[in-house]
Amino acid sequence: MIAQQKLLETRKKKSTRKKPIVREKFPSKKAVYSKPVILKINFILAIALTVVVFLSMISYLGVISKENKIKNFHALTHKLNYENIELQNKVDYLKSFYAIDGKVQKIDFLKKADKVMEVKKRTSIPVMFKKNDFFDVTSVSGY
Amino acid sequence: MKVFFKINSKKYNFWSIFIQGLLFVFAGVIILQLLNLQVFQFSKFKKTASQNRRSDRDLSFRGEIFDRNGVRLAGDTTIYDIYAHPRYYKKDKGPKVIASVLAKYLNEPEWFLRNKLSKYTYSTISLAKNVDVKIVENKLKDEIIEKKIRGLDFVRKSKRIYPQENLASHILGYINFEADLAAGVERTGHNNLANMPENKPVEYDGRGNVIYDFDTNPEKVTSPLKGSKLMLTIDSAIQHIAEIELAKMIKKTKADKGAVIIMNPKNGEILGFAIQPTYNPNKYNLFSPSVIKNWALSDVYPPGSTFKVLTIASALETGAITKNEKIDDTGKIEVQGWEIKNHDYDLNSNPGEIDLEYLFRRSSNVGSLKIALKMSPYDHYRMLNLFGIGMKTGIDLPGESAGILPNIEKWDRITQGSIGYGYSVASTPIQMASAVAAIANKGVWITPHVIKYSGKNKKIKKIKMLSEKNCEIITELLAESIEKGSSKTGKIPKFKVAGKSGTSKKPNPNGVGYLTDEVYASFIGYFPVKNPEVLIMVVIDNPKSKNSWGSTVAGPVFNSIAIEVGRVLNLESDK
Repeated sequence: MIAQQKLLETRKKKSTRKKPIVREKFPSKKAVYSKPVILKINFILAIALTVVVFLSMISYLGVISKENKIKNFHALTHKLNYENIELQNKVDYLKSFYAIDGKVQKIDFLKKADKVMEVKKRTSIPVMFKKNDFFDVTSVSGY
Repeated sequence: MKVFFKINSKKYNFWSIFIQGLLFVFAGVIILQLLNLQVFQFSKFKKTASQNRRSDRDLSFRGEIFDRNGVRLAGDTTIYDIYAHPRYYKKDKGPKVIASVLAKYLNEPEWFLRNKLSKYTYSTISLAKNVDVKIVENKLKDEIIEKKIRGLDFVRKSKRIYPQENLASHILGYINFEADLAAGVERTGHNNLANMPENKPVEYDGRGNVIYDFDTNPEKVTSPLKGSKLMLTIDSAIQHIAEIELAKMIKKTKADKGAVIIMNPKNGEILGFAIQPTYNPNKYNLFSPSVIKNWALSDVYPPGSTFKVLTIASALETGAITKNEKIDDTGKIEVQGWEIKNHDYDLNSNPGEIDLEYLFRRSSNVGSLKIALKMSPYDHYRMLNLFGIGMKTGIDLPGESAGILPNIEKWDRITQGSIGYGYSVASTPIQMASAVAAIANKGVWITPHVIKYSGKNKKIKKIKMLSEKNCEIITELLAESIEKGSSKTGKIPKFKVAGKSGTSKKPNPNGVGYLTDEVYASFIGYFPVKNPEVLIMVVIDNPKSKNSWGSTVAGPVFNSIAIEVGRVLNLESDK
């Protein structure tokens, strides 16, 4: 038992003893890690991808806004087309033979006048203009 | 400086390479897949995409119909069917709000629409059909967008319209898209009218989005696809004149029905085809089938004295008679126990020896009968067959009947004799018109037609049936009979007319024989005699005026139309 206690004490002493310090001037050295090639490729790809994504977003917005405009124009042209078709149908109907006949009948061109105004016969002698046999005209060359 | 994480360089290298490798593989897979889709499977997907495309629009129009001068007789317009889908209603814009908007424009009571719209168990509710495009586009849609109403569906569809209304209704016919029913050229010209152009300016993808074809013409891109145009031989001005004059006479004589056929005998083109009673094809469903049918094609009538033209032509052609033939007209004659009399027997009981001009002028039944009997039955039958009697003319309109010409095996003397003056035989007005047109056309029979065909068409047949000389003789005789006759029929300014009137008794529909007090009054004539360019056939069924004869009822209609037709076509005078 005593021997065991002595052994423990010596171990304690050893452990509490200060470590030796090496005093010297060492040159500072940075840790250098060689970058893998794939990292470089990925870096370039990432930049290219970012640019492409950015461009895509811009062009997408552009396309969408254009599509919206075209869609609106499309709808408007549709509306105009159908309006035009309707108007053409109306014009065709208005100038159809039966429509014109109907209108003419309504207007009644052959209707007799409601009142007939009587005009007295002219009693005065009409003025007879004398026939000029001679005209005082100076002839013009070339006429 | 305190270091929290100490990186093991070896471990860093491993994870860095691992993650970068993963990204590389990921990108590589995407690139490979893109290559696969866009390069290796390019043709396969292109084919699938084109199959998914819809080249038709949401709406297509049937081809338009024009007359020979480009007057539009039929076209299409747009109408809407309105549906509601209850599951798409907004909570605050339910049936009450929707009904209040719709009621203003659909002429329906609000409560009625609200009840309809409240059927939540239905996925689709039909609200209105055939709503005018102006109401939907200019009023309804704007208000619906403004009020942010959802759950309504506007289905666009086309509707056939006839801007000239009643004009040439029996030629144009009608079309019922839903029941797939059609009449007139709408039926016979269907393949042409429904034939859409192959070059489609706009296509839609599988989802219904427009694939723009970079066509800069917005009208071309948005206007509905149209079927091929159909040009008719009809002249609207002539058609209108014919309809007006026929209607006047029908009204005046209180006749049951009437028909006028105006054709160019030189090419078989029908310039006008008026039928009374008429109908408005825009509202065809309001008229009875008897009004809609073209009776001048489907119904037969005994042609009466107009048939004498064919009898004399046949006899001349077969050599049974000559131009200067004299016939002993006894006023009446008995054949196989049947007594046949002239219509003027009471005035002139025994005309004696008559020539062919007299036969036409006085419309001698006895003379025609005797001439018919001079031909052998076989020759007579063969000639009538050549004239197209008893068979369809092949006109490009539906519903034509073949008429009735008794089989030669059943011919006895009375049958052959009565055929000579237009009884025991039944023909359609178009058969008579095309038969006489052959005489006007120097003996060449041409299929009558209403559709204008470009170039040679197999449907248009030409049959040489009479010699030119015999045709000239008939024309001269007919023209002379008109000139010498006491009737005004066929006597028009500027033109000499070759024609023949006819008055035939109506067959008894309930038994054998003929009705005593009902007649068909008809007149057929062509002009100018020197160079016939127009043939006009007038048939009026059962005129109820006193003294109803072909010359007194159909004749005046012929005269009025002929004067106007001469003016419209600017024909050269031959007087």
